Parts: sequence; structure tokens; C-alpha cells
Amino acid sequence: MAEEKSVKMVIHSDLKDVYLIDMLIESLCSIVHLPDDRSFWIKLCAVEAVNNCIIHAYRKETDHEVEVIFTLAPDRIRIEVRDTGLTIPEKIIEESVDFQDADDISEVSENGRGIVLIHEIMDTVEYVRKDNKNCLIMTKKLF
Amino acid sequence: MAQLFEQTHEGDVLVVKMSADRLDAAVAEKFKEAMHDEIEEGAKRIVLNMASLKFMDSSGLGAIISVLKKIRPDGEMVLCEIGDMIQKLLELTRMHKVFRVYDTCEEAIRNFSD
Repeated sequence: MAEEKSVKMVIHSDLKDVYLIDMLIESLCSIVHLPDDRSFWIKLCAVEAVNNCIIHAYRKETDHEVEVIFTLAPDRIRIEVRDTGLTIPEKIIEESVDFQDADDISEVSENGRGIVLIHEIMDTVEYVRKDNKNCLIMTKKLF
Repeated sequence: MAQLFEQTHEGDVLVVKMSADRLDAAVAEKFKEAMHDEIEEGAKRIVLNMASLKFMDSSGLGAIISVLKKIRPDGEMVLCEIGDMIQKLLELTRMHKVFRVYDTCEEAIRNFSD
């Protein structure tokens, strides 16, 4: 059985730097020959998770760090996003919007889709506190 | 920051062509404010050409939803030339029922004159 390979990337908590995360993930997905459509969804989840750290955990303060650990296993991809900011309150998750048809544009929320997208796309999602860090851990099966 | 979009006029239709390849949280607010300014200055028919976009996150999606909410009910914004993955993102979030999407910019402009 092939071993797991992990890559860790640390960025400043600046929304302008988040593109670096999906550049890394795109490269890693190409290593396992993941089709572009699947790598798009994985990049999107990583970006949404990092955005949440910067916006909610760090309140857009740019002098903190966000860690992303990307692990390639033979059968799955695992992404762990860590921050040392505020733990994201449950109400952020509770206020997330469901993906439902809307008849009236005024009923459509502008925000709150990031966490829902992560849950829709990934196979497992866990938000835990360990080593004094908030950790969002997501996995997606490769096959 | 690089220019987010270029704009031209086709009659009374404002054609906004995205220049960037990403509409994400880093630029979503700036994009939203610029588009709201256009609407406040009188734009009532907007075609948003998204051909350049390779990536959009939920903040980018929220920004175009905000523009649509701002322009309706007195006006309309339609999308055109969106990539496969952006289309799939609209479908996953059910926003394909909210936005009118055209394959080409010409079709989108013609929609306003029909």
C-alpha cells in the first residue's frame, strides 16, 4: 500500500493570499491525476475553509497565520485548516443557507454558503479544537 | 490590484466583461461596490460576461447575487459565457434558477432588445 504524503502551507490571514492555497492544491491534485472538475471542488472547499478562518476566526486581521495541511492517501484526500483565532460560533453554521430554489430574489441570501458548500462537497467534515488551535478537517474519497 | 472588469455600452445595455480569472473573497466587495455604483448611476440592463473566470467562491457568488438584488425589480442583469465549473457551482447552490444565463454575449444583448 502506498504511503500517505503531506504538504503543509502557512499563509498570512490575508484574503489576498488565499489564491496560494488553491494553486498548491491544483498542483497536488494533478499528481494524482484528479480530473479538473474534482480538483475544482476540492480547491473550493479549501478556499472556503481558509476564508472562514480569516473572516470569522481572525475578523480580517492580517497579522495571523492560517495553516493548511494537505494529505494525499491512496484512496482519499484530507485537508486540515488550522487557526489560532476565535472558535467559529455555532450560530455561523446555523445561519448558513440551505440550497433551495427561490422564487423571489429578495428572499435569496448573499452570504452563508461557504460552510454548506463544504458539507455538500466533502465526504467528511469535522471542526475540532486541538493544541489550542481550531481545526477544520475535511476528507474526500478519490474513487 | 488589477482591474476587475472592462465595460462597454451596446445601446442602453451595459456590458461588463470580467478581466480577472477569480471572483473570490479578496475582490468580491470591491466588485459589488463598483457594480452597485453603476446601478446607482442609471444602469438598468447589464450583461455580465464571465468568460475569463476560472474560479469563484461563495463570496464571489454572494457579490453577483447582491448586484442582481440591487438592480431588480427596475432592471435586470444576465450572465453569459460562463465556464463549466461556474455553471456547476450555480447549479449546486440552486442559483441557476435565479440567474438568466446565455451562451454568448451577443445572445445576452439580444435578449434585452427582444
